[in-house]
Amino acid sequence: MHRRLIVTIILLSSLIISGCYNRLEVDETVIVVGYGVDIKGEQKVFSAQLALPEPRMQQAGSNGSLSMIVTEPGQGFAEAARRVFLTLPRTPVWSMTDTMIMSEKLAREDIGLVVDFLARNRFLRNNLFLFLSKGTSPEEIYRIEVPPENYSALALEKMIKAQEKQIGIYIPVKQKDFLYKSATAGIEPVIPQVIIEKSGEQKRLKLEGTAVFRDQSMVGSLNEQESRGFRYLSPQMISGGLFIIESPTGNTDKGILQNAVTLELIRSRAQVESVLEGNKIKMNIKIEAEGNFYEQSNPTDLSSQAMIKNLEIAANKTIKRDIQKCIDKAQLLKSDILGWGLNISRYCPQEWEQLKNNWPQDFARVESEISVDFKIRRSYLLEQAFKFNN
Amino acid sequence: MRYLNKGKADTKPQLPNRVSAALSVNIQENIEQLRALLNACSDVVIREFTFGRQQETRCVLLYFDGLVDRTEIEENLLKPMLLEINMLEKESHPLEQKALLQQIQEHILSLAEVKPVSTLEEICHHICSGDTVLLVDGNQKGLAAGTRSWHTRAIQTPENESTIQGPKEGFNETLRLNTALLRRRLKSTQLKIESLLIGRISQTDTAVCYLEDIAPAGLVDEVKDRLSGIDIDGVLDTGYLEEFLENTKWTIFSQVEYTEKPDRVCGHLLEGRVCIMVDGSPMALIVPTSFPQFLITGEDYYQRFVPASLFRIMRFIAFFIALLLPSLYVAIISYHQEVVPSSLYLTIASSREGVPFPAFVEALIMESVFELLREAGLRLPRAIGPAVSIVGALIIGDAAVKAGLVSTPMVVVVAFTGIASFISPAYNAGTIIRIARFGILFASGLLGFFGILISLLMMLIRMASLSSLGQPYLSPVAPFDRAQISDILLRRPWTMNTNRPYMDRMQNRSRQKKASNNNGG
Repeated sequence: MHRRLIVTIILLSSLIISGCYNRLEVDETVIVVGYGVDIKGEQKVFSAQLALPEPRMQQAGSNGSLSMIVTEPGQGFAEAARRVFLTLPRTPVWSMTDTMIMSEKLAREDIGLVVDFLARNRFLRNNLFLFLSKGTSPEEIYRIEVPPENYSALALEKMIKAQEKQIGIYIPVKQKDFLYKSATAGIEPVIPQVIIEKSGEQKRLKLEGTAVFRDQSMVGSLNEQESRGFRYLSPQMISGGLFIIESPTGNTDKGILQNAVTLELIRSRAQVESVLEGNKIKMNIKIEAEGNFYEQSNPTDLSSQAMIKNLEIAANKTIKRDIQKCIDKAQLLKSDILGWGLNISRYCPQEWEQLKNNWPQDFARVESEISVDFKIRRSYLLEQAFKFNN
Repeated sequence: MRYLNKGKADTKPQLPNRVSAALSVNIQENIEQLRALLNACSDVVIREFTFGRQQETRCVLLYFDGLVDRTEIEENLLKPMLLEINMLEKESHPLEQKALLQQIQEHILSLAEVKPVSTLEEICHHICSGDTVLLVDGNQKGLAAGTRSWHTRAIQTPENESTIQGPKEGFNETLRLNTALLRRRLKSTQLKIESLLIGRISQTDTAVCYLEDIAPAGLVDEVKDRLSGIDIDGVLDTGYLEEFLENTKWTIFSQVEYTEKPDRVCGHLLEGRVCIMVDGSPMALIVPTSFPQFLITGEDYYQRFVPASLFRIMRFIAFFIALLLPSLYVAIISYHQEVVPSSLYLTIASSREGVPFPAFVEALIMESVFELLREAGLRLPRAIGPAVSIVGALIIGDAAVKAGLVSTPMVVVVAFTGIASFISPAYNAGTIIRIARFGILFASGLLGFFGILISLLMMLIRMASLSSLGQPYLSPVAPFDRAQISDILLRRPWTMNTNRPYMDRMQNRSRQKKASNNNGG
């Protein structure tokens, strides 16, 4: 009995001795919703958007902003991030962070400055969304208010997710994708760009273009059309988004105003196969896609079998054109954002051993053959074209 | 076993020696002795009268007022003795004093239950139980007539175990009535109701009910052994017996099950368990039981198996909510902020802004206040009960939040936990959850998720080491019984429920013919 009691006391006290290790009360913390990395001269600049807790009682007249932006320069990003404590009485909670913005300046300089911070820091989530602030600094981006969202960092995350399903231009890039692509030979990372659009006094955020990297730094960007093409070529199945084709009825004289036909992409899958013939490298790209008929600009009946066939052919052409634009741009920038090197290294590992040393140059002369198979499945509730009563 | 050994020495209740003496032939002596025994018992009635016309014989009638049916004594005992004696005397042979008692029993008393008694001890026991004792001069024996009748609660719906579907009758405080409720449901001679007397002073009738050939004989013997080993002055509720039946006392886990519903008892009896009932208590005690059994209601078996299974799953979830929710909340907001979505964290953060206590202390205070309100609510007189619960729930809760003493999410967590803890149909299981919740809360306040894990493991190890009269406490989960698990986590359709749950040494496990014959295709 005595011995048992002593053992119990020792066991219980060992619980207490450790003493609430790592405890962090909520009211000693402040949430970081997004953070950004930048450089300014010889200094690294770290900025973060903090979410301020709403006051308990909705006091009249307190219409202050719910977010707060802190910016600190430092020799290293981790140091800069901790210098925040010099001005902030609370401990930032990094684990809630959803958004990271890298400035164009830093990206053009060297992403090597920041990747170790991203990869090593145990507080940062691996699945936060990455953006590149084009022509501005992350701090400026975070300063723009995006009603009805309280925090522009969260707004950016929602925007990039929603646009992929709805319009289908950019692919969201998470930190882990970015780090993986940076660390892998034969594939280069991309990051969607965010810009500040000014219309008069008003400033707003807009997603525009995709930054392309090569050899640790940004070399250029894809525009909207090229970004679409890039999305078609992504190795996962993609779904959602709209695209416009020209009506196949033939009266081209009326222009796109009369001739636009909108199709909705349900799903699309790309298969890329590399073929090496002597010195020639060729990529066979096969796209299988399905979509719905969504909108037409003039009430010609497009529902006949033949017309649908024609629509599909026109859609194939449009998709192929977007993809070709993307490939051209990537080859121009000599950046293998499409992962073709990785593809070759999987299918022809021996040849890749010789190719990889001179890959960016070789990538620029890779030929490609694109075949697209788009099928129209449904046309929603209206089966025939809208008929005017005349 | 140690209870048995301790008890065996003197199992009989110890009354003063003079009581165990046999009756004397002289009625005057008997009366004097009885008067001495019943001295200062103001409720006793000692009625002396003479009997017979030719030879007058002194007789005495003893009973306790209030325990007997007086009209029955008057109509069927006193009246025949005083009036119909003539009929006896008309017979050819005259009455002999020696055979008088037998003749009275055979010819005069028009009561169903009459039996001879020969010692003062027996007499006392009978009159205390509401029987009437008749002593006749010249006889060393007396007659005890069953005239028990006292005011008792009507059969009501049990307040603590209400059901939507299924029988609504509940036990009351009279043992005979309770056993009758069982017999009415199981009309078979296989239903055995063995009687025991426990309690030196209380002399409480205790019934051990089981189904012969279904309940393992060893189990029944073990129960009877343990019960007869009890030497205590009084047994006022089946709860007294629980601790004598348990193998392990030093634990928060109750190893027996209580119910007030005869249908639930019958369900258990049919599964081979043993039920113990005590006169004066509406609670039937069922052994052996296992922990998962606490989350099962009798109603599950009256509903179709689909809703019953869903409710059962819900009950299991609610069990974990009641056990873990406050600790999880504390662990998350003071140690593991990363597991909540940022919008939720923001909401929590803004409501915790300005709360003076750390989350753990806040949780501890709120849980204690809830337990306090709950306990007070039970004890409060009916008339003030609702008023106090309104003050407790609305005013204290709301004012505390408004004053910034506690945060709103904590109130939600505590309220939800409180409601979830009522989902267990067994009250004693609810108390297990309530006690364990505080332990886990401490551990989570000290170590976060790690502490919760440690305390859950400790609980699990403790539970795995317990057994309820030979049945492992976690069965059929551990040791794992595949045939049985489907009737614990879900409710198996009756057509598939062909076997009784496994119990050690059970002879007859078949409940019905195989399902295929039963379905009719």
